[in-house]
Amino acid sequence: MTLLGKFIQAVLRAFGRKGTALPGLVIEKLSPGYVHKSLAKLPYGIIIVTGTNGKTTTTRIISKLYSAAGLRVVTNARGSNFVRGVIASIVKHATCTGKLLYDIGVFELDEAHALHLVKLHRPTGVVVLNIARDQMDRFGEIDKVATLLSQIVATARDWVVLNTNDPRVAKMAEETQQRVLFFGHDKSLAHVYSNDDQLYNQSSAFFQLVKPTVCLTSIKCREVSIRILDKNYTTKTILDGTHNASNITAALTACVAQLPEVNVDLFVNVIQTITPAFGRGERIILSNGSVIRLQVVKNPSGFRHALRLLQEEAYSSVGFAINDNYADGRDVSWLWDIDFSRVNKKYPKIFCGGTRATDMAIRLKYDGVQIDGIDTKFSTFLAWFSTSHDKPAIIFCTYTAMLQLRGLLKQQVKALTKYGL
Amino acid sequence: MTFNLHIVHLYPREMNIYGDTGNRLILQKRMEWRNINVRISLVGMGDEVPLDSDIILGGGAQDAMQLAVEKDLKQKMKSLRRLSDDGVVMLMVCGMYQLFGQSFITGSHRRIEGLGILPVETCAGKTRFIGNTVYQTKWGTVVGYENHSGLTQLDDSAVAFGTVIKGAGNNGTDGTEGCIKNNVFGTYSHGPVLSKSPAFADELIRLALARRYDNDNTSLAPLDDRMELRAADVAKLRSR
Repeated sequence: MTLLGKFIQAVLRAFGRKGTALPGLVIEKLSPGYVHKSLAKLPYGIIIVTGTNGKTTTTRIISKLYSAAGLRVVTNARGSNFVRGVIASIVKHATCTGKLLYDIGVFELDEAHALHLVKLHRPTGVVVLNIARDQMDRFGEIDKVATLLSQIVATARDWVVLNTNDPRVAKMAEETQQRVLFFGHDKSLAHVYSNDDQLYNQSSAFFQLVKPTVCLTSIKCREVSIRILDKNYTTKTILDGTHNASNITAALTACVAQLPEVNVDLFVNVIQTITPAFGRGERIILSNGSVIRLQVVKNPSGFRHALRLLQEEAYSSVGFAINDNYADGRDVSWLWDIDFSRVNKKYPKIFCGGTRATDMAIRLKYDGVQIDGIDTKFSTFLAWFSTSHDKPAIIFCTYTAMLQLRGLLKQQVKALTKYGL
Repeated sequence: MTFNLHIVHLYPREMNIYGDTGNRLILQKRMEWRNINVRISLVGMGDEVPLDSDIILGGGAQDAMQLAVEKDLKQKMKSLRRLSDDGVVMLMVCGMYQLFGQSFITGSHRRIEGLGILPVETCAGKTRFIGNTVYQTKWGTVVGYENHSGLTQLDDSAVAFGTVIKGAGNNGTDGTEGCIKNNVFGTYSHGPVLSKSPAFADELIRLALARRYDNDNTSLAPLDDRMELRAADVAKLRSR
């Protein structure tokens, strides 16, 4: 089966495709036992990272930290968070006889696919980051998402990491008999982490189910302070933004859960070396020296956090690339659940692109933001960012917009953050 | 002469998951751009509906929240009916549209009384209608997005908000979308519905001004709607 998968991947690559979906699809159909059989060979089993926002980055951080502690980690690093993506990773990283030369798997999965995978193979640990409104046309209602995630939590064999500040997530502690470790933030950061409900409430009420094992205590520009098991740590990080501070906190909790014998200093020291994942705030350096950051946005809560990046660094221009393909969510109504009124105070140029560039433009118009260019074609849109500039540009993009922009930028690229194209 | 209008948003915390809050912002801005003074009230569970409301807005929600709101709505039934009879402008989207009807019949055949303001009846359907929509209405083409499983039937006397060009509309079979009675508009369209339908947004403002200032000849200063109309043209071409 592994050979078959490798063959399909090779053929796809020969045709210039990335080969993350098809091998998984074929293997899933031909050999339903493949996933369990392969994963069962991992001595420490698998860790599932799920929730609405932060899966890709948290998975990346956990993988790097486990690696730093000496584990050989297999992960679905391309952000293909379907079971198919997991199978693709297994196929890619297995030997031709099907051996997995790894100690542990760290996989990000969305709620529906995570449930599918844990039915095939029970995970050692489960990390649930948060639950926010997401693409309603794909995932349905938030309460149903919470129910799905609870079922995933119930399958953990050893430990569960939960967000103590997210009422729906914290409550999942009831679903398991295994060790539960909470992560969260200090009350002083409550205003930064208001959830959808609180946003409409206009309040920043602080919710905390229990005192967290790992607690984010302060965020400065590219520096986070975190209390781990009652000891305080401060570290620099390239992973800027309030959302990433939370991702780092969750990842460190997964380290304490899985590797309690390892000195925490080791993990904290590695944090500052970790670069952004694929399209998650990564910096792309063009051949003329100018820098473009790509920041994926998928839902109101993620977008609100991402917008805070504008307060931390000066940008030459700001782009919004909004597609409405299936993976983005077909419905663009969610753009109206984000406040853009503070966007253009400091930024000279604002551009809109993507299949729904015009919807984004109207959204900005009603928040009083002046727009300098709108085009549904990315070739035109990107040209606006390509002029040489000493400050970076930033583009907030939906998922498929990010993939397309990355594809186009590949042609003008000089260097990418370590994570290769 | 200065004009003042009072926008009331019903259940902004409870019924707000599909971006329908945008309708409030759009009306507010389109009024302010014309120097109409706007007052906004948020009316939630247990709050009274202001009797001086000029435009009342409501949106869609999750099933669980809709059930919670339905109980509270009983307390507001009398005042909302009175305001509707009095010609107050109302725009009710999706879940609130259903609750403004005569009744809602759940999947387990339980009958829930609606406010009885719109002459429609909804029963739970088996399939969910999800996708882009295009309707033809008196105020031109209205584009939006629907996401509902309720099947809504109009009474014989009822007037639809529009006819379906793309999408399911009220029930996926009779080609009607939404319902209008007095100055109350019910629709399944998110988007939000007013974002790319400036003529319809202005009609709501015009109706509210005409009623408040007792002048049927009220007209509004034109705005630059090129961006909205361009977005509507783009949206029309998107696949379902």
